[in-house]
Amino acid sequence: MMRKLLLGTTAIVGASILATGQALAAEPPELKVSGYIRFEAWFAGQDEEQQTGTPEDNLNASRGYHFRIDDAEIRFNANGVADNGLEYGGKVELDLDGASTIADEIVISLGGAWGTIFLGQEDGAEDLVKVAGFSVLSGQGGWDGDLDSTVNFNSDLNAPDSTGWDSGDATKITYFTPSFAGFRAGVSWTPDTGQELSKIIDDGGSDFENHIGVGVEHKGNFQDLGWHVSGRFGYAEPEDSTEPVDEAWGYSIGARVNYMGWSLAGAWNDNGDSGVATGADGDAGQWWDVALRYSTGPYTVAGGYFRGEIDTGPAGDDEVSIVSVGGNYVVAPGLDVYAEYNYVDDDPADSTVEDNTAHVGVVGTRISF
Amino acid sequence: MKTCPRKLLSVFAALTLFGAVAACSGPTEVTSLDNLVTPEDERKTRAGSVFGEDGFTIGGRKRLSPGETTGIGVNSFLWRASLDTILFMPVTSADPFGGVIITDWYTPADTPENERFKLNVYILGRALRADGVKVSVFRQVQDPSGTWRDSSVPDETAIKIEDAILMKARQLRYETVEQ
Repeated sequence: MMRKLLLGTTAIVGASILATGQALAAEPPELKVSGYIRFEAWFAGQDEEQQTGTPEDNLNASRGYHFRIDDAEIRFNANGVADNGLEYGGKVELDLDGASTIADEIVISLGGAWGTIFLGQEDGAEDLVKVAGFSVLSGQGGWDGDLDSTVNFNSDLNAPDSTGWDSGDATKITYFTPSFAGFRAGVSWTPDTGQELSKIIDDGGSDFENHIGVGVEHKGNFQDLGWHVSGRFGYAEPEDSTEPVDEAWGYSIGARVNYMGWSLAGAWNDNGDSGVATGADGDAGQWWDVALRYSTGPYTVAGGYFRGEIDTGPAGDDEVSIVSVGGNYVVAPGLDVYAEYNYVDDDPADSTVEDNTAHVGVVGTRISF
Repeated sequence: MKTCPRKLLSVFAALTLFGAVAACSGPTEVTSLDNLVTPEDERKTRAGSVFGEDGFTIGGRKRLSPGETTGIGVNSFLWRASLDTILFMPVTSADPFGGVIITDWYTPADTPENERFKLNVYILGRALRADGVKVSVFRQVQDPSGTWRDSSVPDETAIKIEDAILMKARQLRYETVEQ
């Protein structure tokens, strides 16, 4: 019944947009094509070159270096403004990362002074306001990049993941308020966090349903000082599965301060018990990070620290620490080169699994258009 | 378990109210994916675009800064203001693409007969800004033998003319905005 009511309210919002006047294009619609390509050389030395634990794919990193083009994107954005003020648009983002489904984010947006609705596959409200230490990192993004593709992590929480309480790009409806004096808030509803570019219904998988994500942010500035703070929250129920797990909930708070070319940012994130087997000890982990950046002209240097911990129960905590430093140089509009070094300390709770220490260097170049 | 949609409804209601209040209370910015930039998006676009500020765009209206036009090569307010300001002098050359106006020699009615002036006005760009216009003033004095000889001009003269042009440009801009 509630669900019907919810659908009803969505329909009313939709109807109220359409009822405000005859929608004729007040401004010529436009199509913007953008995207990026990057090439990277990776160098890694680590204690555990062969996979011993279970979290990641079976990895054999014995050579210690490789070249890669692992990610490229093409985005099409079409936008128009109707003469009643309705700003409408659509985005299709093709992510060429080797996955069989190349469409990554597909979303329709309808906006105005009353707020904006996003319909489709896009980050939820809890993700779109994200601020964290890695917001200011350079290079390929340190712990927010692709370290787990090269480093044999035996601890689960080895990146700033918000497993379970973050709905990712799953198909959803999101409402955002306009920004008012720098404040903005949004909420998303995702019926099935496993539903992504698919019409096959699976209500009994290992993912979550009825996900609600909330994001609140404030952006402001005073003379040379600028700031961006955000709070994020997510909640979801597990789908019926043979192994019952806890409901997903979690939150994160983050802040960033900019002053005269310097940026300092950090975040705290708690994944609660999201998806932990019902009745089991332990939790889904917490992470925090902090990073500092300095930019002058085309040069940017940045460095920071990440710490992730999961309570695995009687065995103790999985602990991961990552230090990342890097720099970017913008050679020309749309072209930059970057270099990055990461030190990784992976200390799993399971005493039968070796700890891993890794040094990872990345040199890359990127074209964005 | 099933209380979830009810919670969701109240959140939606609260946010819609916030949105409505925000919309009625003053300057707001419409939310779009352009102003919800995730850290990953920021990294990807840090170097800008090969195609410049607006990227590769088909259709739409070209975004112009104040006074920038597609017809002439320099700021239209400064261009109009310059012409208006030196209207009283004969113009020998005016190039709207290069932004150069050159006048002929001219003797104002209230100056001695043996003194004449010439002006060069350069408009330096598409933006309306204080250093966007440069004026050079030339003065010649006729000696008893009838030959025109170059003579010095106080620096303030050029600056005063520049100020007059900027004042006029500001006025034109203001009138345009008023419309």
